[in-house]
Amino acid sequence: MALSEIGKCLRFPAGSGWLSLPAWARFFIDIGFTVAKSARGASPRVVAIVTPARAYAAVLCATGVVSAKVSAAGSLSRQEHFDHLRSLPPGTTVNFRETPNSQVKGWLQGALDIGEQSFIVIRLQVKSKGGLTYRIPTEQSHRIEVAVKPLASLPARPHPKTFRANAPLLEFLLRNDDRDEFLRRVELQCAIVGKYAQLREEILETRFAAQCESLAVGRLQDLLRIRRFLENDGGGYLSQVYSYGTLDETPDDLPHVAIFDGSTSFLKGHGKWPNAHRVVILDRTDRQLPDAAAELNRAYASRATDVDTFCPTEPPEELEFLIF
Amino acid sequence: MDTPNRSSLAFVDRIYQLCATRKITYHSTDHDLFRTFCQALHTLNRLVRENGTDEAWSNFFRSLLRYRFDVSAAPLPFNSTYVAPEHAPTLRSFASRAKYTYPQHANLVAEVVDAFFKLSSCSDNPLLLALRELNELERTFVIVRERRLVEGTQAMLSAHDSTRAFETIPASDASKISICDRIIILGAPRWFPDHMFSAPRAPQIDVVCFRWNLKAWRPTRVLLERSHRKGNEERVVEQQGELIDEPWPEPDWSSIVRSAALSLGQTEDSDAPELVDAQLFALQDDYAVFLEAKASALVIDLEEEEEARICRVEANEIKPGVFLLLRTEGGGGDYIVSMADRLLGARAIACRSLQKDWKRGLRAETARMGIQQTVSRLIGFGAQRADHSNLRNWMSDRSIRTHDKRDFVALMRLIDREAEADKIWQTMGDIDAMHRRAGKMIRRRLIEQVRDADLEKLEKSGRLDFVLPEAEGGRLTAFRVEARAPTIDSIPASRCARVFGHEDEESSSSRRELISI
Repeated sequence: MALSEIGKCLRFPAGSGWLSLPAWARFFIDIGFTVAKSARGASPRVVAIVTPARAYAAVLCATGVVSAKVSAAGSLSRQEHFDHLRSLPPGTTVNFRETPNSQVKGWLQGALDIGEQSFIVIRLQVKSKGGLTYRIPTEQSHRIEVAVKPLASLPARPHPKTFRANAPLLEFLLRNDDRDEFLRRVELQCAIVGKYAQLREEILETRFAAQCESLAVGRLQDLLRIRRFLENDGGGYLSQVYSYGTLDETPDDLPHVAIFDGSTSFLKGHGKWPNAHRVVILDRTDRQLPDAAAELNRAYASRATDVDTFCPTEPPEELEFLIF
Repeated sequence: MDTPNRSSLAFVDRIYQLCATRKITYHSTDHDLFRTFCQALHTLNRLVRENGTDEAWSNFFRSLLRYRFDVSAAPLPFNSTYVAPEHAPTLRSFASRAKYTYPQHANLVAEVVDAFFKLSSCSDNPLLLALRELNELERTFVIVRERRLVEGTQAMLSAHDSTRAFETIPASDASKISICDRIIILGAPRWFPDHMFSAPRAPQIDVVCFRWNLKAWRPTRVLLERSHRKGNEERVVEQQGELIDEPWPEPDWSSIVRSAALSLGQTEDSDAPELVDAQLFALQDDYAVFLEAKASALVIDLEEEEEARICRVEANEIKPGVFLLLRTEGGGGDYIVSMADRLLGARAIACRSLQKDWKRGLRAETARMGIQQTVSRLIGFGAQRADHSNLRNWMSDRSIRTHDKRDFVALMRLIDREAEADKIWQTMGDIDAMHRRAGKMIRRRLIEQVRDADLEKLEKSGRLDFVLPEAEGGRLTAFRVEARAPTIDSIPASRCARVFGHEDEESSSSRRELISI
């Protein structure tokens, strides 16, 4: 099934059964999905939403962001991925997925054309110990990903890293190939700024399910792959949560979309990633709401240009919505 | 109907459903004498204000307005001791004097005072009667505007079968309740936070108030951009007679400022007190405090996560609802200073003396030349950040040294101590380091104590003491911040961070400073 449809297939526990997500919850997923479709580097968009209760709004929105980015990545052709790898400088550290459950790190050597076939060449072992080198053909190039941490030197012997992916929800939502790619992907697509304990509970401790013919139960973490909540499964990450109290100490990695969960998060963190697209969730009961709304209204009044309204669906009546 | 777990998505979904389906019903009540009193007081207040403020009216209006609003927002009889103004006896003499001092208002004053004394001996309780007529629902919360009205309201409700099961809470706690069957709001809708109606926690909201206070709630946006949808249609009950559409009164800030002068006494250096910009806060139980506007203070914010509950916040960013930690025993002022002095040990006296010396020199030089010229000279001497605001800050005893050494050297040059600049910079750095260390130590101890403290008690009572052995055996008290003054006052620095009472400035018995020096 397509991840763009995730809002329709997710279920949440209610009483002794499972219910489809209500309209407001699907709306937050849609908003995240739509904002994430805005190009990186484009004029940053701001979406402000006033809710009767902040809970789950930010994490559902993040689910939309990740779904959109994964869908977009899936639509890249093998040839485009190959061309991207070919354009990278020799010596770039990459991960190569040897089997569905293991990957190995190496250095990109360049591209090689033999007849009509093209290959990406990666070296996995130091030359003096044999210099193991792989040639990966175009149609297998999706098994190569640029690594986040560069390798200072090649090892004497390659060390495959295994990982486990026990996520029925993910298995339901993504095909095998796509799932493997998804689990290895290392990219800060989404940053959520808020209260750590609340976010942790919503992301890690709340069960969700996807249902078609059978029921696949999981947690939003299966999709969000929040870096600080990852158990050591060897895979990559796609999002991160930050407490607004320690935001100054966080690295400056630029997320594609930053989600501010609550007025205080926005007031303390809105200067953090000025070039990221931003979603601001405001709770009507929050004592800082007037200050946060005033700050957003000021930003709206001084916006450089009007952007096309891209609200995917009519916002539910319970929400106030502002986009610029 | 079972309420889902508060942290579940099902619970949040219920809140969204309530937004879409909640029903607001307005119940108005009346009372001839109280209406006469309210309308006369309202008219008199407007006329006096039109003629400009006059301090002589301050106590008169303060006590009667408080009585009027309290009785309008709680089911208490007119003669209840919970709402009786403390200096009611002075009202008659004020009315007598008004015949000569304010002849144009004398009749209205007499009407107000006469109605007030009749009410003071009247046990009618129209709001309670209206409450008792409401149909019974299982879980009902009664919301009162002010925390001080909770006790009296609950006592009154508990005395009657039909209202015994109602639970009274102040409006400031309304967002913390779980989903219930009904919320009853006592008083005019505009006296309450908007979220009581826009993000309700019950399917049924009953507003019970006097009919001249009744103006139906209307949804409003907080974000710009015109809403293209109509708000929820509510059944609107049109009030009859004259509407008195007034906001809930702010604390009488000018009266609190006067109380500070009376309670905190003269400054140590009354000839030329160091003046600082200060933010005034009204605290729980009719206490108040000035904090230097640009200095930070320790607060407890119970809405934060455990590790972040205690933090230092700049005074002008402190909001009502948080708890301000103030020293109430073991010396006035900031406990960090005395703790830092303990950490400095034998050097403390010499270090502080040096700090006082150069501050005094700077203040004297600024007084001689004026702020503008002092700033110009500092810039000429190589200062990087010299401006009016920073100069005031550098003169303050609360600032220890400048951020940039070039600014400090310019200051030393200005006061002819350039040769000692390095030595003084170093000494001020030592004081600064000890302040930071003291701050960290106190924060750590407080976190431990807050973790062990009865936070429910703190939330309920609005005040809690903490004893920190490190702070010279001192006691810190967490006070709930009730309100923040809209303007900044210029006051002697020695009055900052000292808690004082402001309940009744005329009564010397209640004029109190909480700290012992």
